[in-house]
Amino acid sequence: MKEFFQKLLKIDRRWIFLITGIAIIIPFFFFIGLPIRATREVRALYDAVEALKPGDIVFYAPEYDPATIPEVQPMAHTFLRQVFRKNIKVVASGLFQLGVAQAEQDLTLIAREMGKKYGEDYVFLGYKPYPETVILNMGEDFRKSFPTDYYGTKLDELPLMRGLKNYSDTKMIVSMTAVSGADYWIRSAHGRYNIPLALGVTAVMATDYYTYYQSGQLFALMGGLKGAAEYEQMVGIKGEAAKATLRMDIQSFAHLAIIILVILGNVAYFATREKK
Amino acid sequence: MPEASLVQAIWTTLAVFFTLCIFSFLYKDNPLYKIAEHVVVGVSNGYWMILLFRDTFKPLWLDPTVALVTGAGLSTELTIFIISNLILSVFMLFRLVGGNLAVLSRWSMAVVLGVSAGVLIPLSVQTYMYEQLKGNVLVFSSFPFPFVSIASQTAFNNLLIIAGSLSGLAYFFFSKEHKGLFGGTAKLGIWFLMIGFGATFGYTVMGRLSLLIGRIEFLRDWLGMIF
Amino acid sequence: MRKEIPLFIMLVCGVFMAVQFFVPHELPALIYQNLNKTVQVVGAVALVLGIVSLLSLHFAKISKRQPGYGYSYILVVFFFMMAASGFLPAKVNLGPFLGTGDRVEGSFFLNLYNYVLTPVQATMFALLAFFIASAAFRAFRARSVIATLLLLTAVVVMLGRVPIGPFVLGDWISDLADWIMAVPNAAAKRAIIVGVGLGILSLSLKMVLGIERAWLGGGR
Repeated sequence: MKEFFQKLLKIDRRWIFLITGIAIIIPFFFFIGLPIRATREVRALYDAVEALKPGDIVFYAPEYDPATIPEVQPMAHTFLRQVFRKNIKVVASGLFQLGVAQAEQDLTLIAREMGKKYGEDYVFLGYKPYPETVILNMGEDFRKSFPTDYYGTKLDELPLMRGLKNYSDTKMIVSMTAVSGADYWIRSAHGRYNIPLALGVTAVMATDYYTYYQSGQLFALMGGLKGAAEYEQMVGIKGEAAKATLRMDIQSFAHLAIIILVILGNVAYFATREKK
Repeated sequence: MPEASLVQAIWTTLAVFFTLCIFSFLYKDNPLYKIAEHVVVGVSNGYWMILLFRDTFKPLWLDPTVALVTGAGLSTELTIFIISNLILSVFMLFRLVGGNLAVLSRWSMAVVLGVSAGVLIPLSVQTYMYEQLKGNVLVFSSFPFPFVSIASQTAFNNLLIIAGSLSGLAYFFFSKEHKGLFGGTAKLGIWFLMIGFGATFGYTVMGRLSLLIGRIEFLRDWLGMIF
Repeated sequence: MRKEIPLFIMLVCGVFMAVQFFVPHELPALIYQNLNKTVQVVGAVALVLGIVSLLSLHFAKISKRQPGYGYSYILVVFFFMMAASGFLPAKVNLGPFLGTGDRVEGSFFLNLYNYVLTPVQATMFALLAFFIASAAFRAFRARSVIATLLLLTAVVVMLGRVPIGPFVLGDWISDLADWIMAVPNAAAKRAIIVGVGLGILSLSLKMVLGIERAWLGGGR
């Protein structure tokens, strides 16, 4: 038995890669639809958006790159569907360089799906480097950092932007981010201008932001695929569009596989450990 | 349109090819992986070049400069901005020239870093210290019942947060030896930190697996498109 | 004067930006906004320097025929393809496969972004799942009491945050995971964040006051 565990501890890591791959692929062949329970911090965003009135304006900051699409894109799509459904207007910026094109495509996709018109119902400001200075400048006047939108149109030529100066003219800032931009929004947008702020972040980042939620610097927080799935369920997204919900079953089995690997590794370690 | 779907199928197959090139690294490092790596570095830098020019340099500086040069009326504020940015940008480019002129790039760096660092001084105090410690004081100010509950704002949880954050801070204070009461507090801090890191590890596993699930989904959708 | 003038500029800009936080007057606000814009423009030039530096490195590799110079060719070709595609106007049609110019729907720029950049970048990060599984098996050991605490917390969070945990074990695992995130985890991260804040403050002060001079680079 001890030799078996010793061999197990020396196993080529490529076998572990194979086991991980199989553990992820198998659940693709069956969908159980396990229930997903909502948490307080995600419900807070849903409730805050539901409390808005048609014609209110929100500032939306998608900052996720292709690498984090599986986690953050479902949150972003669900948020846009919820706000557009309520006829809430959206002003958006994309301050992460690798994610600008993705942000623009996602915004256009959902806006088209919901029958929204560019310039009247939503505006995409685009990208500028050094996001912290951009966030600070937008707190004074959007036009300082964005004289034109992403497509080169002057802001004053867009009906939605007329009379809109800075964050104070919006009801909240919601950032779906996979990068350190989350810190910039907390420290510069909320810290300086005290605007209600909600974040949707990747699971890797999520644990660090609970403390901001607890202190009230964030009014809502969505973390990773679980947060996205909870939000989808609350908003009522179903079928193929509920990507995060569909992925949660696979996530469940993958987690079980990792836990089994951890337990196995520890059992093998203790079984082969020389007693002192 | 059949032509459009054929074009999309070809591009998607190219995407699958690159995906499999990267996955091949799991077996071992190989030329296909290196090709995909270099392709993405080239594409991402080209992409960023476009963003920097079209989204930053052109609207913020080039268009106003053209307006100024062609005689359109610009405010004093914008004129000063255009001239100062021209000087600082040229100084920054002197870095490529080298020699004595390269020293002038330090002036431009000083402006960029000075502004960034200066902004952080009040913001870091506000965000990372004042608001966080205010979060501790706030929890002291409300003591709802029940005293103990697993998942809601209660006195027990609030006291734990205060104890955890202060003992964690005690652990990171290395100017005093961790002995006696202070050492005990630091040890309590380590326990809280370990719970925090355990939670982070759990979430990290969740995050990484989500990304892999996304990729497998993409390959499945491609198979569905082809067959 | 080669160091004194930049240090003086750093001091003036840094002090102004710090003090302006507390001053509601219009003129400082105007200077503040323009300084922020300056950082974006001048900073963009600095970022371009980085790209130029990358290209110089690879051009040198190609010209000297250093090992792996073939890969450098690929990098440079794709760089110019992407950059050129973004500068072309939308009316330029590169054919049904490549697409149009500019960065509109159906453009070559967006095709390269969606079908080259996106899958490669996404897959590079997806590889981490395999490495984390391998690390979990090989390195995650309950060697001590606090390591066991870390391990148990990770297992509770991993089970509690996916639907299968509460489905098999009951709602208590989900409640426990919620509690761990909201209470001890928040407390621990608060301690770290306050420490980080102190670090940021001290580094910013050191830079503005000229104590930290690494950014000046080497030489006189």
